[in-house]
Amino acid sequence: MTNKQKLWSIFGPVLIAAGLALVVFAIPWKSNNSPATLQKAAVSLSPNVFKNRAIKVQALADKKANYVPFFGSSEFNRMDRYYPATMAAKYHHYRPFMFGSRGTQSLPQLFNMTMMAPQMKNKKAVFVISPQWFVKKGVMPDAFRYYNGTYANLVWLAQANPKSPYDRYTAKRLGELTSDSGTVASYAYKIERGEQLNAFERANIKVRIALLAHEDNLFSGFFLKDNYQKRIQPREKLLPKRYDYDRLYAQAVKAHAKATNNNDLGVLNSFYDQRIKHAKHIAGSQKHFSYLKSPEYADLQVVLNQLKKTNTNVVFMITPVNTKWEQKTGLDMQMYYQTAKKIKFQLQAQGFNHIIDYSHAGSKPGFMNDTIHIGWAGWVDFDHRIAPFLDNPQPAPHYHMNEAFLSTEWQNLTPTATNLQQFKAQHLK
Amino acid sequence: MLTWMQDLPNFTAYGTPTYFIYLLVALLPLGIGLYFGKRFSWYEALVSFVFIFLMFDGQSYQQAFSLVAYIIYQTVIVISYFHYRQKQNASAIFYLAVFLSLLPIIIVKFSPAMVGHNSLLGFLGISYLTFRAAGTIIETRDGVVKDLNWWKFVRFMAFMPTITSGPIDRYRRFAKDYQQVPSREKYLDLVAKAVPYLFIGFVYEFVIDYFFGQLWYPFMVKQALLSAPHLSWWVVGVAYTYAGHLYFNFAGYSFFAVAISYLMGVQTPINFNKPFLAKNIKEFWNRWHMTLSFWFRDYIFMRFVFMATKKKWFKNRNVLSSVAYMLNMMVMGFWHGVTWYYILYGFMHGLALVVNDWWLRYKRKHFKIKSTKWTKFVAGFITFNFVVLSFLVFCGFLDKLWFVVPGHH
Amino acid sequence: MQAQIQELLAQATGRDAADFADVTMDLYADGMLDSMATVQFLLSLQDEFDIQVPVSEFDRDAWNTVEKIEARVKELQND
Repeated sequence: MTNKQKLWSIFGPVLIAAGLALVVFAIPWKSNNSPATLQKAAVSLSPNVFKNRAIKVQALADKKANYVPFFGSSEFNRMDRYYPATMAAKYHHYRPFMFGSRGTQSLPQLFNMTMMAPQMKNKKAVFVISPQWFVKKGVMPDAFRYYNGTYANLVWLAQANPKSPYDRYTAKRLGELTSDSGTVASYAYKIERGEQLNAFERANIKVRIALLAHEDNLFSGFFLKDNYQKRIQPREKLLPKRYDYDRLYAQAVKAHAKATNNNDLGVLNSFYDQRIKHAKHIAGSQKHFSYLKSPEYADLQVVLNQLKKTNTNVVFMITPVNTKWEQKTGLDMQMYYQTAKKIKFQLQAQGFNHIIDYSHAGSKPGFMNDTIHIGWAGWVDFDHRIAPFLDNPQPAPHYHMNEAFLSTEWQNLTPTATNLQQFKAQHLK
Repeated sequence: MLTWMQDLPNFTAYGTPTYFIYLLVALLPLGIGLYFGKRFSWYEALVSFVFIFLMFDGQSYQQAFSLVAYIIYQTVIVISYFHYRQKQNASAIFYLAVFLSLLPIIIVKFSPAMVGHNSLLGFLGISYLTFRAAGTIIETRDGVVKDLNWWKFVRFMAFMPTITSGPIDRYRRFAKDYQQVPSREKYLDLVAKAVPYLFIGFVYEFVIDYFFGQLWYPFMVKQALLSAPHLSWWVVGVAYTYAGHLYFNFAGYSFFAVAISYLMGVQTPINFNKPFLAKNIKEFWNRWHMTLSFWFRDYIFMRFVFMATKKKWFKNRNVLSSVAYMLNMMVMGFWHGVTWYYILYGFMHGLALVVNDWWLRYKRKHFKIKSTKWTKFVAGFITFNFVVLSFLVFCGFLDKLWFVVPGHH
Repeated sequence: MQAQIQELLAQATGRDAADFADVTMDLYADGMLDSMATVQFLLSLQDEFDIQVPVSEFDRDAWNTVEKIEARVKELQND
C-alpha cells in the first residue's frame, strides 16, 4: 500500500463519518411531537425535558392544550391521586406542565424559563418554593449542572445584558457553578464584569445553539419517563365525577390515614419502611439547620426579575414540613416560619401578591405525603386555591423590582421584624 | 492576585468532544512535520504549554503554581542527583534523593487525614509525576540513565498528553522516542493505531461511561443509601456499576492519552488490556492500569525481593514472596490516599496475590487439573467478582453508607 | 552456557530444566517466569557468571527467551 492509500485508509472513514454527522445536525429538523408525547412530557419530570427546549416550547405554545408551567422541586414527584395534574385532567381546563425534581431550585428554574421566555409572555404560572432550598451555600453545583445543560446556558448567554445587575449576578453564579465547561464559564465572567460579548463570541453561541437545537428536535422526545400512563391516568379514574372540595378533602384525609398506618408520623408506609425505620441519627439531626441566610434569596430574585420580564402572572406556594417529623429531627420551627416570612417579604415588596403560604400547615391531618413533601389533602387544598386563578381571567400583575434583594445584605439578613422594617426603610421606597 | 487567570476558559484534559477539535487542530502541524521527518520541538513546546495552561487556569489556577513549583523542585533533585551519581554512589544520598522526591506526595496524601483539608501543594496529576521522577532517580542509581539534562527531564515530566493521569512512562523509553523522529512508515503505523484508539476512547468515555457514570452508578448509590447504614441488594448494584464506570472512564481516558502521544510520535505504553478477562489476580494486574502496576512491580516488588534475597532476610521463598506482595499492595493502597478503604483495598489485593500463589503451588503439587474452557471460565468468574468487590471497597461508598451521618453533607 | 541458564531457570521456578529446552520460547508469555522467579534467576545469574545486572537493566522484552538471555549475558561479560 502506498502512503497515500494508507493515509486514506486511516482518515477516509473518519472524514466520511464526520461529513455525514455534520449533514445530519445541520439539517434543520422540525420538531413535531404528538399531543401524546407532550402529555407524557408534561409529567415525566425528566431532566431531558427540563434541559432542552423543543418539547416545552411546543407544549406551551399549544393554545388548545392549555398547558400552564408549574415550577417546583421534589414535591412534584409525589403523585397520589390528588396530584395537580390528575386533578386538572379530571376537573379543570388547564393542564399543568411540571418542571421540578430534587435540586431544581431558583437558578435551574431561571435557565429553564429563559428557554421558553416568549411562550411565557403575559401568561400564567405556578411557582412552588421550598424553604429547604435556602441553605447556606444555595443550590449544589452538581444539581445545577445536572439540570442545566450547555444548551440552556448558551440560550441564556445569548440574551444576557451586561448592563443589568440581574444578569451580572446570574453570570457570576453561572461561572461559579459550571466550573468545568470552558466557553460558557469564560463568557459568563465577561458578562459579570459588565462587558459585551464580541461579534465572534456571539456568532459562536449562535452556531452552537443552532446545532444543539437540531439535536434537541431530533432526540428529546425519546426516553421520557412514562408517569402519565402509570401514575396519572389510572388514578384519574379513582376521583369522583363531580368536583366537591369538602368531599375530596375528607376522602383524602381518610385515604392518607390508610396509606400511613404503619407509623405515627403521618408518613407514607413505603417511605417509612425504606427511609426511616432503619435510619439512625434522626433525633436532633436537623437541630442546627438554618434557612435564613442563603444566596438562594438572590437567586430567587433573578427568577422574579425574569417573571417580571415576561410579565407572567404567577401564584406562589411556600411548602409545609411534617411537624411530627420535625419534632424528632429537632428542626427549629420558628426558624422555618421566619424563612417563610422572609420569602414572603421579598415577594410582596415587589408586587408578587398571589401567595399560598403553607408553612404552618404541616400538622394538619392528611396534608403531608412524607417528611417534607406535601400530598393528599395538601394537594386537594392546593388545587382548590390555584384552579380558580388559572381557569379564570385575572387582572394584569404590577411588579416593581428592587435590586436591593440581590445584595449580600439581603441574603444574610436575619428576618426579625426590626431588621425587615429597617431594610424597608433603607431600600424600599 | 492574577484574577485574569480565573477568567480564562478551563479545559480539563479530554473533557469534552469539543476539546478534541481544538487539540487535534493544534497538533496537525506537528503531525505533518513528523510525516515529513521533522519534529518541530518549539511548536510542540508551545502547544503543550498552552494546553497544560488551559488544564490548570480558570478556577483551579492555584494548581498551576503548584505544578510549576513541583516540576522545578523535582528537576533540581533529579538533576543534582544525576550529577552526584556520575562521581559517587553512596546509598544515603540515594535514599535522601528518593525521600525528597516523594516528600510532596507524602504531604499531599497525608494532609487530609492529619489536618482535615487538602494540601495546597496538590494539583491534578501529582502522583503520576511523582512516579516519573522517582523512577528516574532509581534508574540513575542503577547507572542506566546516562544522558539527562534539565530540559530533557522537564519535557519528560510535562509531556502534555499524559500529564494529569498517566499512563506512567519511563524516562529512558520516552527519551529514546523523543530523540529520534519515527520513519514515515513507522509514523503512519502509529497514526493508524491512534485513530481507532481515539474512537474507542470516545465510545468508552462519552457513550458507555455516560450510562455507568451518570445514570446507573448514581442511581444505585441513591437507592442503596436509602437503607443506610444497612446493606441491601442495591449495594451489589453499586459494586458492579462502579466497576463499569471506573473501567470505561479510566480506560477511555488512557486510550486518549496513548492516541495523542502516538500522534506526537511518542509510543506511550498502553494502560489497559481487557482486564476483566483475567483468569487470576496476578494476570489482572498485568492487564489493569498496567503502567502503574508495572511501576510497582519493577521499583518496589522486584527491588525488595532482590534485596531480601541478597541479604537473606527470609529462609523460605514463599514467605518472602508473600511479604513482598503485601508490601507492594499496601504501598499502592496508601498511595491512593490515607483512608481506611484505600488501605483495605491494598490489603485485599495483597492477600489475593498471596492466596493465588499458594493455590497455584497447591494445585501443581496435589492434583493435576486439566485446564479446560470450563476451568478457565470459573477462574475468570472468581477473579472478576473479587475485583468488583475490591472496587466496592475502593470507591468509598461503604464509608458513606456506614460512617457518614445523614444530613451532614 | 545454554545448559547452565536452563538449569538456573529450573531452580528459580521449581520446574525441570527440560521445560526450558525450547530456547526461543517466550518465558513471560506462558507464565513460566514471574517477577519473583525473575529476581531469583537474576541473582543466580550474577553469581554464576560474575556479572552485574541492575534491575532497571532488566527489560522484559530483551530477556524473554533463553537465547536472548545468553546473548545479554555474553555482552555483559565483555563490558
